[in-house]
Amino acid sequence: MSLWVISIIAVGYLSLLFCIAYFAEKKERLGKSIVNNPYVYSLSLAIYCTAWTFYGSVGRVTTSGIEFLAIYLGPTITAPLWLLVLKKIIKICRSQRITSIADFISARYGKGSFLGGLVTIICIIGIVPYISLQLKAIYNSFFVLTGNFTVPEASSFFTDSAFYLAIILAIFAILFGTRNLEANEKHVGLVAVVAFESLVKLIAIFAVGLFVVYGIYEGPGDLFEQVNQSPELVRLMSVEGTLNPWAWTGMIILSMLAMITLPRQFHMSVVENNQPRHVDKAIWLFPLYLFLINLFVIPIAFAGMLKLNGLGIDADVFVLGLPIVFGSKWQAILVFCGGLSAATSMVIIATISLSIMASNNLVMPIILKLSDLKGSYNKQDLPVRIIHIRRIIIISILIMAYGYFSLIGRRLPLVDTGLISFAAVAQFAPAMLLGIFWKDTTRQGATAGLIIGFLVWFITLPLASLSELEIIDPNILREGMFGLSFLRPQALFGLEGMPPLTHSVIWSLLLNLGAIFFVSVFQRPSAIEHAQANIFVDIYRYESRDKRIRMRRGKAYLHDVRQLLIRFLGKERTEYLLSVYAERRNLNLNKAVDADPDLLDYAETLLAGAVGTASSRLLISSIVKEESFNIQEVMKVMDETQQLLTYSKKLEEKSRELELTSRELKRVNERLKKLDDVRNEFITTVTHELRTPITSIRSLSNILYSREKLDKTTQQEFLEIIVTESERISRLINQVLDLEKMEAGEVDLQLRAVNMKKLVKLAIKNCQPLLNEKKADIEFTCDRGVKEIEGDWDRMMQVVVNLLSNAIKFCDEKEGKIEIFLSNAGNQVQLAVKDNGLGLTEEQLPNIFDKFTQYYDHKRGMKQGSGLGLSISWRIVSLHKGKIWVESTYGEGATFNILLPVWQEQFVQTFYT
Amino acid sequence: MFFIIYPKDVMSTRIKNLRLLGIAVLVALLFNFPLITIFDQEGFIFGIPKLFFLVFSFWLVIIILLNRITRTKQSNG
Repeated sequence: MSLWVISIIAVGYLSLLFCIAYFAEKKERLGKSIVNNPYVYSLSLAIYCTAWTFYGSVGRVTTSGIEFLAIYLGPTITAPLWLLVLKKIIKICRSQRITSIADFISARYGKGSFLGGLVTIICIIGIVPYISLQLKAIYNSFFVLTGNFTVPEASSFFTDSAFYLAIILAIFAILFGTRNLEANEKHVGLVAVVAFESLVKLIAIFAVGLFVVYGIYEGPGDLFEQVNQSPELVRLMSVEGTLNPWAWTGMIILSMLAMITLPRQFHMSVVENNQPRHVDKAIWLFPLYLFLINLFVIPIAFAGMLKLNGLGIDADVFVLGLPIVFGSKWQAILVFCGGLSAATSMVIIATISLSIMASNNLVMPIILKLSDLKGSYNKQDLPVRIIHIRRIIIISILIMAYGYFSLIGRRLPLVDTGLISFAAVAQFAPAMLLGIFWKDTTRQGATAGLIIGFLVWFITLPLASLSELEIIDPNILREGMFGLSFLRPQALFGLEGMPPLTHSVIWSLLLNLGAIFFVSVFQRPSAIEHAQANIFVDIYRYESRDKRIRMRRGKAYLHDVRQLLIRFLGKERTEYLLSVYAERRNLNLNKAVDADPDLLDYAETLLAGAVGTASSRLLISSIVKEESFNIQEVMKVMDETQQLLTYSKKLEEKSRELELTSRELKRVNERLKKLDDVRNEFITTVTHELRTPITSIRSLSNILYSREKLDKTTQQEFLEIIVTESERISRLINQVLDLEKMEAGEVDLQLRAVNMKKLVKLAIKNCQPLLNEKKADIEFTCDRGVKEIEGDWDRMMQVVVNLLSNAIKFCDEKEGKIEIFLSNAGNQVQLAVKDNGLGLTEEQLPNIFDKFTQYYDHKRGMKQGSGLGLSISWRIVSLHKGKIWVESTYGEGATFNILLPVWQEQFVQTFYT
Repeated sequence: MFFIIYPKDVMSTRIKNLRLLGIAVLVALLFNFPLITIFDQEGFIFGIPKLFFLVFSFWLVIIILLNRITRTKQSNG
């Protein structure tokens, strides 16, 4: 295939990617997002697999067997911890509008621009070689595809296709990532492209794998049997002899950290994350992707070693070489596109994230500090300038990558360069991880850790490599820097016997951690560091309570704030965001003149999304007359917040208790009200009951007094009435007093054996006049040998007479009939009094024994009795440890039952005789 | 080790995190020296060298376990 055809294919493929990005962005605007789901999110994380995975893994197998897997097992180890770590970072970044690692570290340690700048510089130094590695991979694949297995050296960079490749990639990165200044650096189109490319590279490597295993060979058995017959290849199928434990461990550590420390990984997993809960699925989907993409690496490598031996093909391009030599043109093109996918997605995302980082943390702070900000208000071009700055940065990064590639990169294998980059960015891990779990890490601590870690990395890896390649003085490697033997790059302080990578990882991370820890421990954080540390470590608390610590006391004009926001976010968006704020706080921003500290914080967070944390702080401070807090004041604020939290918790508890109490009180009150009603009614009744006899007594007495000539019989009649009426009054008064006494518990029962049969007979006799008056029949049935009960004769008589007179009162008017049953019931004696009156309705049943409850007689249209008889009976029976209840169906009369305990002594006697 | 205040659904999130932590420790031990050498055996399974077969199988098992654990009712963090 000619270079031209391949170039057209490559450009065509990149254009397809652009269409996908455009399509995804269009869908997003229509509200039908195609990227807002865990599958696309997981695929976008697969940006982890670059050309190094696609081509380099196979190359690695040919020298070190299974060692390449360490890079993919590391993320599998950390994936389960994403719920703890990654989700937390995502939440922090959302609340703080953080858009890069530099922003993250700078925001955590007090929003200073120095730390952000430092991180950015480390990133650029660490990542540029990695980008150059992708250039190299694409460049090599170009030549392999043309059939030139030996890659030619370019004479000058204008004739070097790698140079043009870098330029094309820069253009694409610019087109994708810097069309406008986004408020939160979310690039929907980019996510779609990365996810698509992840699919392409997986499909491509699967296609080659299946072709090799089942096309060239007859299944894995066949392939490995042939491997088994080649003595020098058998070695690669075991751990022993291929894996250096130290190298393996070093790679595992690096790849574990890489998932959050690589800028492109941070960008995809944190900045472009749509919903934190997508992480839950990615926990297994992402390792699954790594598993699948590595499944065929070993077979491809062995097949390449067996079949391509002697053709002079570099092991790094076996993936492409096999289909070219044995397969079809289309297969080769698919693989080429897979490699192109792996490389371009990495290059585009890495350059974009580096450009965001560099413009927000290096260039902007410098511009802001240099220019007179107040004066530059009228200039509307700052956002445009930012975009231009980012474009320039993208181009510079790619040119640097090309430079690195043409100077050094051509001589290093793919994987080595990648690992050196991993080791560089791993230096962020202590500052990031300690920063989100430990409040006491300070800015100086983080700075010291980063600087020391970075220096150690630089000495032990790049410097050593340069010295090894004799680009700089090779003596450094043997004799140490400045001739000091303890500064030998590959045996720092005399630590020997390790592969250079692991040696570097161990020293740099240990010293980094040590520095961050000890510096932090021996100093106190400044006010703003303290506040930020609290937000980062306790993000869930701040998130759930929507509480912020105010870190600002100054004031600014609302107009200034609005203008500032409009410049960076556009008029429409600014007005929208401000209206959201006003609504949430119940403010009217149209009338306000000053912006309060809360609004300033809000504006700072909004700007942070566009220009980075440090720059946005600078921007806001430029319009604010700000007095900064000192540490004592912050501690006071924090203490107050803490106290408020405690108070509010206590208040919540108290209010719950109060609620319970008030509910109880309400219930009691209702009962009291009801009782009150009943009592009122009772008083009316009692007054009525009292007044009736008193009236008749008075009038009769008056007659007797004033008319002396009354005849004897009339006098006698009158006097009789007066006597009965007086009795009625005294009975009523006695009843009331009786009940009072019983309620107060002042009744002494004279307990002895009571013969109920005798008692009932006597009661009937007493009630005979009433019976006669009503002309009612009475029938008394008594079991034989009814036992004596334990009771007070007089009181029991009171109860029975009461029940009896009630029955007489309420039995049928014409054919009144009352039945009384007396029987044994185990250790108790049961008495039942049944009448054939109307009976009780269901509403009456439950409170028939309550005080003052009177039975309404429908026939006579008035209430009957004082409402005390049954209540007194109930009390007396209860005092006897007995039971009283009523059974009744309306219209069929009522039966009152009493159960009374048998007299114990008698029981004992009968038992023994 | 991780004293974190969780937003809601405290118990289930805590238990899920503990399980995931357990898996992480398991993988870290299994795929590192010295335990990784237990995969280093001579011979073939289904025509595939035991080392490759075992490492990839365990890897897959871990992925399935992760799937099972995260599939349980999740908090809408």
